[in-house]
Amino acid sequence: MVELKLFVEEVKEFVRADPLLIARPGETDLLWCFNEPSVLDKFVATSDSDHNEGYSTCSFDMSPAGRARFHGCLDVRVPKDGRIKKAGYCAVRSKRARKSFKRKTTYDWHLYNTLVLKVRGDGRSYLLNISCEGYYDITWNDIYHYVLYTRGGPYWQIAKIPFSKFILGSKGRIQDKQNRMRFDRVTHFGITCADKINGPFNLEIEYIGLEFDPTHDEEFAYEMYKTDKYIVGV
Amino acid sequence: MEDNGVMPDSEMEQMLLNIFGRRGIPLRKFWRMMYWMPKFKNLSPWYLPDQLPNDTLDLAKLAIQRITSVDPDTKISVWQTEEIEASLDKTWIVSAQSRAQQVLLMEQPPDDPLTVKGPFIVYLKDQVVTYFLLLGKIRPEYKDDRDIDDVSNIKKPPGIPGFIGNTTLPTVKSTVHEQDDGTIVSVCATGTSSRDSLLSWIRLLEQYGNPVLADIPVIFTLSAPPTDITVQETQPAIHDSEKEIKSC
Repeated sequence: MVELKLFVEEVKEFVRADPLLIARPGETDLLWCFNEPSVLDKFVATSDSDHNEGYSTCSFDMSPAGRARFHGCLDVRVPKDGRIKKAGYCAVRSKRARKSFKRKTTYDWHLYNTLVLKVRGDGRSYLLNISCEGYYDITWNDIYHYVLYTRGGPYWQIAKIPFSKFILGSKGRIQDKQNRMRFDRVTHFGITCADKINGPFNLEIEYIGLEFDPTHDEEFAYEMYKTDKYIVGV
Repeated sequence: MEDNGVMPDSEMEQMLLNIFGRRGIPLRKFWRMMYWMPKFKNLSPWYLPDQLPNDTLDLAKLAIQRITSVDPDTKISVWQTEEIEASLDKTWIVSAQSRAQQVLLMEQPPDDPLTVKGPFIVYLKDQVVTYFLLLGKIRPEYKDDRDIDDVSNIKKPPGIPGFIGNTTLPTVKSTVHEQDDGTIVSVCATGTSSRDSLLSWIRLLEQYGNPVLADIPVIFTLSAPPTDITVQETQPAIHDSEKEIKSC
């Protein structure tokens, strides 16, 4: 029944044909505003202990201050089973957006060029991951990364990161041939803590949003020129 | 090598080229390191030196500088607890307060107690520093819900010719120190994060520019420290025993 209602809403939206044409500069359109616990269901928290590859723990819940809190303890000890060389990561990732009848769909962010996060961290650096899975299975593990440096302390910080600075990596390995992120088919967004420091971590998030910054006209921050054939990209 | 933050140099490139050849994997890894490591080196907006100082006082100063970099007006002071005669601990205190925070503290009513919250931790690369906060009263966000289209009660415009509107600025949260759970009045880090050193901190704050602290009661709410940090406390670390101490 719920799916039918969603489907009806979608048809109405389609008939209305009123897409958001431009994003107003200076205004942040919020993707996820962590005011109520229901928004937390859209995220999944994983750590290496879930895959038997380490001993870190993490959880993603509501803090007493009414904001989302990603906290846990990172453990760099490598489990002794012969095949794992490095350990210690914890991540929280958004679930895939679904339309009615549980069809998978993508986020469309082509109007924006900056990601805005209001966080309160503990001085550690976190990795932001945006995943744009395509149709072909080679690209299923392509994730664009960037580092979020937190100040620590009780003051909130607003971090604005333009999409042109994100670095392409596949399964965690930075690729040689870099290109710009496709904004119109974004599937997941996630935050990871993997900075090789043993100890507890704590990141409080108030909102995650998008903004259009008209002064930022950089297409992509890293070089994309052609290089020698069998050296790069092999 | 990249795990320990070591950057290779051109002699290493020659060695790799001679041993493994131009199309070998180690040389490609070297080129990748030389491309990506300089890009990541200075990305952090808060500068930290490569070799962090070993001394806890310097670490605490760096940490407090980092935390209070929000307000460029903060003045960081280093005091010794020996300046207060009645102190039991002999240690240093790094405290930070800006003039805006001093003004906010002076507006605190004498019957509304201040709270000392802590210990919180902040990481500097891989070193941990514990710090404490002094929180004042909660200043709620001013919500302007007036209906501007309501014409039933328009004020007669003031006598300035050609001027329509308010002569006062709208009331908004004026400083970054006003937050949901209180107004942050000061931040400190002490050598031993014990209650006694915090008491000396309050007394030193009073001495150095906040005479109102003499009348306002201060509640110490110290939660149990996280397990991997040893805090020398004179009392056992238990959850939240509220002791009201009137600093006279």
